[in-house]
Formats: sequence, structure tokens, C-alpha cells
Amino acid sequence: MYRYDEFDSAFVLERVAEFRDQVARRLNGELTEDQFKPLRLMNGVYLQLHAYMLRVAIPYGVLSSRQLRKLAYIARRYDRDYGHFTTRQNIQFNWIKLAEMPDILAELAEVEMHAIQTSGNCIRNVTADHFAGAAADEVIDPRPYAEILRQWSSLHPEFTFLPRKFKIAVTGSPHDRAAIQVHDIGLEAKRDSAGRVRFAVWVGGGQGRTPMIAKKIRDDLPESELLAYCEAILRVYNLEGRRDNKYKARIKILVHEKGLDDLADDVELEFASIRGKSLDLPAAEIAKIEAYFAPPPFDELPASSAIYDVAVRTDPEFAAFARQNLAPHKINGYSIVTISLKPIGAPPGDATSAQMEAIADIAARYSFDEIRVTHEQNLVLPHVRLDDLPVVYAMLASTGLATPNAGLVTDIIACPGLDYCSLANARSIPVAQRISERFADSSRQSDIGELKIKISGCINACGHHHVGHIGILGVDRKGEEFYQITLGGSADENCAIGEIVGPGFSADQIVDAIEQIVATYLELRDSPRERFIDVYRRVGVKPFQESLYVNA
Amino acid sequence: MAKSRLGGLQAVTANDLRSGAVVFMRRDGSWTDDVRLADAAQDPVEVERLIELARSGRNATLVVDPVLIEVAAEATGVAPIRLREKIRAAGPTVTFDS
Ligand code: SF4
Repeated sequence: MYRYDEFDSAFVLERVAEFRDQVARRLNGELTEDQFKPLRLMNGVYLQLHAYMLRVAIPYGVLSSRQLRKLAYIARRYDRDYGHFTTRQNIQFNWIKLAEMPDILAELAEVEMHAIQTSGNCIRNVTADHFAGAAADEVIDPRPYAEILRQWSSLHPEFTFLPRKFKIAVTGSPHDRAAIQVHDIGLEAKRDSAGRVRFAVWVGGGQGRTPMIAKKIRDDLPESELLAYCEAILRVYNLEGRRDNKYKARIKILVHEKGLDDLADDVELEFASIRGKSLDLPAAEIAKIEAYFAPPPFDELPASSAIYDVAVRTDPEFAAFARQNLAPHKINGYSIVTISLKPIGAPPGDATSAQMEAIADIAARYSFDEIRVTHEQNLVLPHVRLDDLPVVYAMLASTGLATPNAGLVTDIIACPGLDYCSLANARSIPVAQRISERFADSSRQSDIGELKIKISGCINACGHHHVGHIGILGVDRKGEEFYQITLGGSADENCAIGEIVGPGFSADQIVDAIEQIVATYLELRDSPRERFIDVYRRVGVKPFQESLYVNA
Repeated sequence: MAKSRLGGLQAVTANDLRSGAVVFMRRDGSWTDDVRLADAAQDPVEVERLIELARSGRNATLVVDPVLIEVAAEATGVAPIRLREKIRAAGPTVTFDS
């Protein structure tokens, strides 16, 4: 049996002490930068353009109020009073001093957080549906499996030096909010006809330089064999993945070069040698982990709420928020609230210390102390009573957190880009800010409807541009920023990689180009119900190319 | 030693080891956070001397990754040329007040 230890705080504290010593030795010259760099990266410390950046893991995007308050405290005490939520459900602090890093890690350890496995060629932070345990369409709560995978993968001795980094995502809903098909392993928990938990296992998805959609390698993996099967995939990858070329080292290239069938044969062979042994997950152990994720004590409530209905009728701003930022909850009388970190014109994903504290307070009082981080760089209050929504809305609004744009054209994902990132070719955030301002009018936004714009500052694709309905990739053309547009990408269960629409646009042209694409969509759609992505799938790239280039 | 491939006027930049802040080197080997006060050179021998100095012993505990960048001599002092270096010198171009 695999041993599920509780979060091992002794280990994390040991790591903090070890890092404190390493930092001291770097500062006094005992360690050279070459010796120190891998050590700091193992603790989530990157050197970016202007400062050190600390990336803190938020396992499957779940935070308690206490943890969010700690992040707020760190932002205020050690940084410039804000943090940046990333597309991998993590948080990054952009302005940290190396000498203070050990203190920060010690602070994080107080709330069971750390920065381990946020860097390097290991299994990275496992991500999951941010509506887990709340969504009305959910079949199975993916968090227990994400936690089991986290424990298994944490410092797994065999998998700390993989050919390349490895990302796993889990969902338990047919509508995929976790983008599982663009992960190295994507898992969908579901039930078979007898009601037993089974996993569809996808392998070899990824973005970056060579974007690929994962292929389904198993459709019926029994729950008890989850770890053994994942271990088998990792073993085959660890052995056969390319180490000669970092651009060909991800498992997606192995799947592509070897073919799914051959890979599946190798995995099955490996699986046969380990299944039913130490990695087997007995029901009792799964139940133990599930107990950590037991539903909060929901009240028995009617499906509708008079308080909520009146607020919708009488307060147009609340109604707009309700229309856009609420999602159906599995329990009557509750709702899921998306807190947009995309106020018009602001850097996507940033939250100030005061905002984090306000959200922590609201969550403590109105959402069973839970907050989620989404890969779309927003936060979520997963369990709010309909009756409480007007109050929660007012509290959010008073701290600039009630922008009613979830899923709309201004809910833009953008990576840090050339404003922060040492790998960038072009800026992302200012482009997002300008697009957001161009489409600021909220009735125009809601008329346009669902539209996902995603921006990356280089081909590493941290801004998920390949799977944006409209993707924007910053490139460096002879020292100038240029932006390449892709159309038709999608990160959900109908996963698609966007198609390059044509030659790139300068920084001056890019916002007009986006507006032109939106205008073309509005002309082409049959009705307001036909979303951008639907139109794109119906008509293809051509009409967009024509309006962008031919008439230009 | 990495020979400079840049050609024109050049200065040395790095990140401060302790804070990570962007710094530029002066002829005497000291560091400043003001790019205008950096010392630049064009003569290959002089450029080589600058980068050697930046990489020499005592700097190992002061800065990280010293490199040469192209700069221009302006009335106000040295100015970076590439956008990346302009952003490094001046800070993010992101606007925070919305
Ligand atoms: S996509 Fe490129 S520029 Fe953007 S954060 Fe990733 S590495 Fe940096």
C-alpha cells in the first residue's frame, strides 16, 4: 500500500532551514551562482528581469482564508503590495529580495504552503477544475485524486530528473474547465454503468513551441489503479523521452514520434509489472483522502431565493454581475462566484494585499472559508448562498473586485511577458490592458458574448495563446515587438489549437486587428446565441483573413 | 572569454545578488542602478576589460550574470537601445492605476 502521510511539515521546515543555509552561503561567496541556481530553482526562486520572483504552489488551486491572508501579508511585507496569480493556479511574487526568501518560505510553511516543485524537470503542481466540489455538472470531485497524485508525485525519487517538466490536470466534469487535453497527463474522473469510478487518461498534450492535443490512452482505468498507471506512463517517459534536445523532451513529442499505440503497449507492459502492488489504492485509503474534501455543512435551502431575485430585478449592476460571474452549484440555494481579477485596464491576474484580505474575509464568512484559483487567472468563491449574493457582491464591489466580465472579451489571460519575464520576446500585459480598455463598455462586451483572448510573450505559451479563441503571441522582429494572431483555439472538452491567421501585427496595430476580428464575428454570426468559437468552427479562418488583410 | 559580438558602444549590466535589482557598472567596477551613470566603451579592448572586471572575483558576491548590452551616448548619459534593456533599466511598462 502506498502511504499517505499528512502534509509533512517537518520536511518542509527542514527544507526551509536548508535553503536558509544555502542562501547565506551564496551571499558570503561560498557558493557560486552556478552552484546556487539549481538550489534556488528547487525552491521556486527565479531571477527575472528586475528582481527575484518566488512562485508558490497552490495545489489544485484550493486556498483557505488563512492561506490567502498569509499571501496578502507576504505581498505587503516583502513585495510591492500585490501578487500575481498564474495560469497554473499558482501565485508569483515579483519583487522579492534573495536574503528575505528563507523568511518568506518559513511564513508559508506556517500555513502548509511551499514553493517545492514549482520549477525544474519534475512533476509540477497538480491542477484541477476550479469549480471542484461545487459545479452542478460535476460527476466526481477531482480533488481527492489530485491530492493523491500530489502526495505520490511530491519528491518522487524516481521522477525528480525527468527529461523535462511534467504537468498533470484532473477534472470530474464532462465540461472540462481544467484544460486536461493540453497537459502531459489529463485525467477525467467519471462513472461507469455500474457507478464505479473510472478514469479517461489523456497523454501527450501541451502547448509551447510544438502545441499538441493529448491523445486518449485509456478510457476505463479503475480508480484503484490510478497511481500504478500514471507511474507506468512516467517510467516509460523517463526512459524513452528525449534528453538530447530540450525542445523535443516533453512527452508530447514521444507520443508523436512513437505513436499512441506503441506507447500504450509499452505503458501496459510496465503497468503489468507494477499493478496490484504497492501503488494500488484500496477503497479505504481513497475514502480517507475523500474525507479531507467532505462537502461543507450546506444548509437545506430552496432552489430559488427571493432576496436574490429582488436584487436582480432592482439592481442592474448586480444583475450584470449575476449573469456573467455566477455558475450553477450542485446544491440548491447556492452559487459559485467568479471574482474577476481583470478590472478594465488592469494587469490580468494581479491582486493587491488589501484585495486578498477582503476576499479572505468574504470567504470566511460566506463561502465556508474556501477560495479557488483558476487557470484563467481569476479567483472563485465556490459556495455562496443565493441569499448572500447581494451582500457578497457589494463587498466585492467596494474593493474593485466585482467586474462583471467572466468569460467575456476583457477576461484576458496574459503571461508576465517582457515587463517581467527574462525569456520574453514581447510584452503581454500592456496589450491585454489596451484591449481591455478598447472593449471597456460592458453592454458591448455582453453583446459580443463568450470570447477568450489569451496572450503569451514568447513561444513558451504560458499565456495559453494556442488555446485562446483569439490567441496572441508576441515575437521579436528585428528588435521590435510583433504579435501573431491565432484563431479558433479552445481549452475545453472540444480542445483545439488555434490557426495562425496571417502575418503579425505591430504593437500599434494589434488592438485594431482584434477589434476587426470581433467586428467580423459580429457580422457573421447567425444570432447573438452563436458564440465566436461557434462561428469560427462554422466558417473557418478565411472570412477573418479576408477582413483583416484583403480589405486592409 | 565570451568575446563581444555587438560592435557599437557597450556597457555592462547585471542583477544585484541580494535584491535582484538591475544594476550597471562604472569604470571603477562599482555598480549603479541608474543606467545613465554606467560607463560605456566601444574599443574592443576596453569593452573586454569592462566585462572581465564585471566577472572578476569580488563581483561574484555582488551581482549575478553580468553581460554586455548595446547602449547609446545621449546628452543625459548612457541609454539602452533594445526594448528589453529599456524595460530593465526603467521598470515594467504596465500601468497600475485603472
Ligand atoms: S510565455 Fe514566455 S514570456 Fe510569457 S511568461 Fe512564459 S516564458 Fe515568459
